[in-house]
Amino acid sequence: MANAPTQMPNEPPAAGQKDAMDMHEIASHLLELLPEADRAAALPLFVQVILPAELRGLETHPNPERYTELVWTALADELRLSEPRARKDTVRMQRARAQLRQSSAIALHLGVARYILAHPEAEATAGHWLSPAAKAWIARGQDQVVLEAVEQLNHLERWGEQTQVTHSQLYAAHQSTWHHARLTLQSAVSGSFETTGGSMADFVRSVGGQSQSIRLGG
Amino acid sequence: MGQKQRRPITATEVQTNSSAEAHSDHEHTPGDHLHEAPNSDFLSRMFGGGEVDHTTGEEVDAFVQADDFFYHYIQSSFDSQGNGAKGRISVLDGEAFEAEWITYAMARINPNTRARFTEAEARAFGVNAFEDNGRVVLHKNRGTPGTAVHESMHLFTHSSYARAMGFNVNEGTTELFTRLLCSRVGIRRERNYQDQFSAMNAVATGLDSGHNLLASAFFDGNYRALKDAMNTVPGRYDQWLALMQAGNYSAAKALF
Repeated sequence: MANAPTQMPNEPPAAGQKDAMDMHEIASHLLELLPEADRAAALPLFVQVILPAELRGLETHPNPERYTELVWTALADELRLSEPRARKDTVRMQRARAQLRQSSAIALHLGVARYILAHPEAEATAGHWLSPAAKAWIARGQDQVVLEAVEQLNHLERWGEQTQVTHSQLYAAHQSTWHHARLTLQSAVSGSFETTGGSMADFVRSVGGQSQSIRLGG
Repeated sequence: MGQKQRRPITATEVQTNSSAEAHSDHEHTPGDHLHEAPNSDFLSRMFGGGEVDHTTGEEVDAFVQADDFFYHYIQSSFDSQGNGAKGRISVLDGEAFEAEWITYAMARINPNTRARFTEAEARAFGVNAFEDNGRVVLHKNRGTPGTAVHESMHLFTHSSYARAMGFNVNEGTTELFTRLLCSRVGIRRERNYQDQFSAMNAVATGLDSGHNLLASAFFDGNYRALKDAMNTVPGRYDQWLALMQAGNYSAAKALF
């Protein structure tokens, strides 16, 4: 079945259907784009990694239908660009990218939490940077933040090593995100924010902190 | 120099559809040279392993001066000799680039060690280019011909933009105008900052005169019109900015 033509829906599910969709429903539509033989392996990648990362914050988004539609369409379009038999590789690329996006988001939550734990006066001006996830990490305390940051840093280092080999183009396109997430996690581990990059630098500056940024070119 | 008439931006000049954007991270582009086995110098191999035909600052200036849209916004960035990017972009060979990068990095604290970056730590970073006090330094064998255009856009941006909007919006807008200029003059541009670009492209295409509103903010520091256009949906500007700063690009795009 691996090389059999796959029936491809030309349109995403109608917008009105989206609000009722859960991850399994969205995944089931995406799986229709894969050869049948590849679907079982792809299902957990969609449900456990790709969709949770791509749809993070869906529950609080003002237009969840539009958000879901955009994500669904982008993932489906990527699959359609490949020959059916190559689509499992595209799903693996989508997983790798989702992992980086999730790691980058977690890095920022941990970085913000560690900074505010060290500088409690910053909480009053942290505004939107103080996300529910960052607040939850603050509540757990510095030791837990550091433990999680160490674990995330290990994941991120492995991601970089592997992705340079398996998805070199993906790595090249997102390497600044990777570098910045890495710096942010290192800060979350050490408590040193003297050098920051990306959104972490924006946060430190927004709460009046002093930090030198690293300006990498692209 | 007098102001020139703006040239309208056509839909074909920028990627506006999700299919084109979806292509971004795909590994199987026909004719792509990225399928070779990895070797020790990953970054060089990424872009062919040899010397990159970097665009010079002088060439960027000429492209800008010949383009009504860009020159309208960027002319004030040119000095009295007519130089914008010229003289501010250095292309260095591997050894000289490493030496400058190491000096740059060693002036900073490594958050991993809480001490200044060592030479070995700086070398391990592996970067294509960096900016130091308004001067852009490019590695001769890294990046693409579009890298100098991207870095020039940073030189041309209003000094308040990055601070007002944050890293992701700044990079996305920089990349939006980089790809626009590159597409007009036939310079190859890879999919750098694809997430940020895609999110800013949604703003440019989702608002009436979106490119002009963004250009006015990006090059001239005029934020009011952009903010007002976004806030035709009450509260959208603040929601969008928070999502962009959190790196949640799809959620930000879904506001348009």
